[in-house]
Amino acid sequence: MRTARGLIRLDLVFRLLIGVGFAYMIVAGLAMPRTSFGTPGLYPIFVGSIGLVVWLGLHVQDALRTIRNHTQRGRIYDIAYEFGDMPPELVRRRTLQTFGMVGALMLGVWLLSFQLAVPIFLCIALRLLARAGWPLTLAWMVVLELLIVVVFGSIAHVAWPRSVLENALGVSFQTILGAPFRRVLPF
Amino acid sequence: MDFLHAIRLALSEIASPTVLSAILGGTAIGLISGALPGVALPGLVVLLGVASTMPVPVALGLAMGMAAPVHSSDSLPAVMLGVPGTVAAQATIMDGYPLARKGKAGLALSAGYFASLIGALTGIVILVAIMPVARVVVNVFAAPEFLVMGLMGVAVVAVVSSGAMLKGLVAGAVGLGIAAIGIDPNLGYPRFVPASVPYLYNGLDLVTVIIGIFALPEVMGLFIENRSVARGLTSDAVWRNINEGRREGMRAVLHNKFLIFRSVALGVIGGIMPGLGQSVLDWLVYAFARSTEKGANRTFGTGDIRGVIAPESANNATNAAQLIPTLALGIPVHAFQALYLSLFIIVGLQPGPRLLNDHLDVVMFIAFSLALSSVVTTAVLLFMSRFVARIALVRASVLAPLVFVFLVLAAYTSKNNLLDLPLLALAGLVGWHMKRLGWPRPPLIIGFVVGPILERYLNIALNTYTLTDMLTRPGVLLIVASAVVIAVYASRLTRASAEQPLAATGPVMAGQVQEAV
Repeated sequence: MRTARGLIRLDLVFRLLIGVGFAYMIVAGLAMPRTSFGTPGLYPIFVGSIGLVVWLGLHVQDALRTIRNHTQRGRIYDIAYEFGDMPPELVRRRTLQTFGMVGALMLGVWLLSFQLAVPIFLCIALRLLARAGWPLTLAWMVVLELLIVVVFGSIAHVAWPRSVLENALGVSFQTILGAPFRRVLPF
Repeated sequence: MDFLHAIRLALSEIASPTVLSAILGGTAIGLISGALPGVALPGLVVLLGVASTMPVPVALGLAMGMAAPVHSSDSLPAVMLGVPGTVAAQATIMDGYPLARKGKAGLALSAGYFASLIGALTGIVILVAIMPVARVVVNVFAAPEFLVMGLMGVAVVAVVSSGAMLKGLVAGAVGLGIAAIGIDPNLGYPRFVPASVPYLYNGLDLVTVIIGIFALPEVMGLFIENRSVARGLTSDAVWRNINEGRREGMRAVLHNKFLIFRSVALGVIGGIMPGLGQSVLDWLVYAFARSTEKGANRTFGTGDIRGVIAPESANNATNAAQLIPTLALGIPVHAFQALYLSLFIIVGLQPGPRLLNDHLDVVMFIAFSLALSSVVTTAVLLFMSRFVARIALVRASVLAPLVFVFLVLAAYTSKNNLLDLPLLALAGLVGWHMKRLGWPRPPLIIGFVVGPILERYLNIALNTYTLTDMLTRPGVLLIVASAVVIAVYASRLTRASAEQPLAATGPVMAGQVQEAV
């Protein structure tokens, strides 16, 4: 019940943000300069107006449905996993855990670099959280590290960002880890 | 470009070892991602991230190689485990899973693979055959027609959201709106960009937004559910089930050739129509087969092989047919096609009249790559199902962290900008909540992809024509009328398919159409 109420509240915030966004597009579009070649505000006004009309229509429809006690809301055109048979508390905990994992990976990339953060993340996620065996964990750590250092770094020449740690130490992990491969690779 | 010359160029491009390897590599990735529920879309999105670093034929070869097998290998978890690999395999469960429980998984799978191959090749032949006609039609179109066509494309996709039509339209408008962020393409004026955030001058990164809205929530769903896809089955049991009944399956397909013909025809027509997604078509074809096949009312749902053949042949034909409006008009009719359109734009191709006139060889290349990949897929699935089946045994808790890493890598490598990672997290948060709150995401993505195209035609149309001129053009009137007919018809079909039971026999209700809150 608490989850359902929370979702309804979140939906209201989401709807409000969308409505404000459409209104802002129109106001900002009208304030944009007009030249003899046209105005950059044309597209935002066009989209904002259409958006606001359908947004208002949605809320009028919802209000009418509430008045008529019409519970059938139809189906959305999307795919989704159903968590109906799982306790809401577990869903909430795992949702937070998932966001935490993704956030930690991103933070790790910023602080440590892709070259260090990815194997550490995989080690924690696979070995500790998923309780996978060491051979599988190590195999994926090596595969992903090779992908980052050799395929992306040395072959595709992806410019990896300088992490906080790299800046502090004054080194580049890609240069250090990619050195042996640069000698072997023909390009 | 001459039609035959385009075919020759496309074939010579495919014959190059690098491109051939890319197609085969893409096929391998597609086979694996189709067999893993919830991974097909993130897999394609990861490719978008790295596509800009590849030569055009290699990137397209990889993408088309991936596209073909997904709707063949997705029947593997559907039959073996009652879990659809993708939404297009939902109806396959109805008879495929009962067949597997009767120990006839081999029959269901081999029939499904053959039906898929026939469906895919027919769809590709139609794609190739229709292109010369499409070229003539799109050359008659001007800016007003393309503007209306783009708007109608987004609208029709939203309208078939059935009872949640207005939610779909709002989501489509949100997609069009976020495409406005960045420097105005005509006058160079920064829109909705704070001066202190130059990162936003080029607009929101297409790949990062798609990954965040679409792929990240899918993998999160997989992780939160944290079920072993193959729970209850050992790898030996999977192997035994698959090995039996291969020849019987092929014979069943040949025996039901008229059913395949009807299903493929429905799949192609539905594929060209905007908004009729794979999940809708899948149920529609299944329902059609149940009402037209002899005795099917009693046997469908209990393990009738015709209940596998009909949806499997149709969903592969749809896959190729959906490329027709994407390539000819630059208007994606489905979220998957929005991803392909993004890929074309990323590698520097502009689908629409220019592609058909100047780069017909690219269109032929796409068709032949799909055909090659389909043939390879069927061969591999028939002879290597044992290995592919083992992939479906991977636990979600092991799979999800790996996919997270790939998604983060794809988001970063698309523009080599670290700020794409916070954008990915934000888009992921929005996508996740849209999914949980019952907001349809495909219209948003289609709106975002089509937004810049619409803006260009909006400016040209309003600078060249008066509103009355624009709205009274025969082409515009025809498109509006067609869109209304399609929307009404598609809504009815969607409602009809909604009456079908949803994967009721499977142990996991995954990948199904979600009820709006």
